[in-house]
Amino acid sequence: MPEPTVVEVSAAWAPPAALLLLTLAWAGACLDGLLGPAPGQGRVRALRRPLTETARLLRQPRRTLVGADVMLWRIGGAGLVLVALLMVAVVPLGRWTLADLSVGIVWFNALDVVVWALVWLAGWGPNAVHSLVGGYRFLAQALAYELPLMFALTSPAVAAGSLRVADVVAAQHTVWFVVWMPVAFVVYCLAVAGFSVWGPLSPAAGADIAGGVLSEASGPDRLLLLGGRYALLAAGAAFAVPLFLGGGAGPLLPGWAWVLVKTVLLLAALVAVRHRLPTLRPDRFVEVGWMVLLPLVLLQVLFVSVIVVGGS
Amino acid sequence: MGLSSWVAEQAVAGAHVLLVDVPGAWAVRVAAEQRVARRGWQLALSPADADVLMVCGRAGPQLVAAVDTVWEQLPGPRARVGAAGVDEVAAALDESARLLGDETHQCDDARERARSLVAEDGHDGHDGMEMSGPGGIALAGGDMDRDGLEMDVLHVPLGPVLPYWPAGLVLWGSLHGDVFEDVHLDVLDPAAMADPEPPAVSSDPAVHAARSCDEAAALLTLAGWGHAAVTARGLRDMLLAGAPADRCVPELDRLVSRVRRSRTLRWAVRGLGVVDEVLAREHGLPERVRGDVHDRLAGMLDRARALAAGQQPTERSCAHGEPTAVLDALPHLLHGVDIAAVRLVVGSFAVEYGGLSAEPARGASHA
Repeated sequence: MPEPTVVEVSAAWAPPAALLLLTLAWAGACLDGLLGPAPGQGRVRALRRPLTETARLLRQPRRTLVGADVMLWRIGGAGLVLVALLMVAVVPLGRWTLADLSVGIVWFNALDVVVWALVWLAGWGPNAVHSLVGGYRFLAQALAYELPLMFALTSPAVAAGSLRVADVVAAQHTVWFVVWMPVAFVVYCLAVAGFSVWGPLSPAAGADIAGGVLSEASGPDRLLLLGGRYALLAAGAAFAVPLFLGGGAGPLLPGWAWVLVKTVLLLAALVAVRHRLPTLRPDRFVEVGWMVLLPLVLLQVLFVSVIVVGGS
Repeated sequence: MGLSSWVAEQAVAGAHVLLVDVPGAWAVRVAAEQRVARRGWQLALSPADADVLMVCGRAGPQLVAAVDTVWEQLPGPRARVGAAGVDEVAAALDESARLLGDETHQCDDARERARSLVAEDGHDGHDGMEMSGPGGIALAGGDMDRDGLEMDVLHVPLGPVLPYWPAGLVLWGSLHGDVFEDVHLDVLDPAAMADPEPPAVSSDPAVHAARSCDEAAALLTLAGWGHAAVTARGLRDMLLAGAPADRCVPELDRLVSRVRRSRTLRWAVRGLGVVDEVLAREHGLPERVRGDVHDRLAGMLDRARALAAGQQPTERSCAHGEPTAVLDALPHLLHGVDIAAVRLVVGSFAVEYGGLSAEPARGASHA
């Protein structure tokens, strides 16, 4: 097995990387049409949905409300896509990466915290009740998933003895981390759903508050919010690959292809859960986050630490 | 021209429709939902998300006024249509598609709106801004919430144009953060509701079963369980299409056991809106609303199953005074409760006025 080394490519590769992420986000939206509950609506229609939705939103003017904080609202809306793009900058695609940061994992963690501000602003901006309640809900939920997420990110870093994503990949050349840190992996996936306002962790955009943080957005603003959700989901799936799923390791195919295949599979899994579980109400999820997830993931870190210390 | 008309065509192919429920016109709303799905369109959750505003049934003056306000909130291109009966639904949606695709009409509409906005701005000028917030809206006052925290208080209504909300109902309350207090309920167009002549009631148990499935679907949607909601809605459509009992009943059994088994659901809605012995006796509430939201949801599905299996409709169809009892009791259950719980509790009572239309919704799904 060749030693997986990572080369930092020039910044000129950023636009193609962005395009790749948006393609993944688009694929996620198509998968959502296919895997979601849509009786009586053919497959073709479901696959066409992202296209019709985009056309529809591009045709709409953006709206403002009386007393809206337009600038903050727009920042919240446009920021999600940007954060997702910055997240994938540290994900190695096989041998190549855009930024081989020595603190890649912290970089990702910092960005997912930025999502707190962005979703809150998207809820706060329009000066409307349902939207604001959506913002509150997101913050409450974020309080529940953020600490478990931090410790879930810590486990691979402890095992690899490094915060550099490339080192984490290299440390998995024998066994993928998902095998011996499943709790951290599950918590990580849950948190990805959390910061993407997705599935069971989407009360901030719930039907009971008329779409919450989405309720007042229209036109390009809505497109950016919806696209941002898919982009975050795709970025979260992509980051799990070097962290837990062995990066580009795999038979036959080249490394970059394996990264893509694994990303798409995890993305599909995340998309598929969307409608299959009831929404977790933030006030009750906080309890789970602190009383169940946090102790579990701490035990996971302890377990990993003991193995690392014992093995060295 | 080529590109913009292509974009318009794509956009119309995926339009979002905001349906306005009118009391007593359940069958029309269901027919509209079915038609919307068959066109590959989607239901909107809020005015900002909608291209089409469709009133299902004959709205009274107060509801029409509310619809007018909502209409102003659609971003446009937009179309406003109505269907008084089940047989008008298809034509209304066709008309909305035509309006949405009509570029000249939409341009005129947008210009007209811009003009009326400018005219309004000229009116309010700069008077009385000192005590008010941005845009001349009064700032939220502060007050203690149920936990003694000082929070901004907003006085807001829920309804009447709100998906998965009882037709014609408006809830007024003060919102501390996301917690409601001082709740009271209003029924729009009470004159129309107080019709001395009880509305015609369908005697077909399948229609009643379908109604129960629809209520359960709405509640499951509010609980954020899309898959189960879609199943319940599918069952509703099967029942309305006259599917035989031996096809519907096993499906319903599966759904009932799925809902009863789901720990996540029970954990999310348990203990909400508990109707105990005392409250039930005090307000003369029927047996079927005892327990919490989860009990009532399971009750809806059990009832649907019994009706689908051929049992004759009983309390439901003749309970003309019951909505009033529920409306009296509801504020007691909604005090100091967060907005999600308010929606679930109100949804679990499935308040309805105007009875169940005798107008057959049957055949609507295969017309």
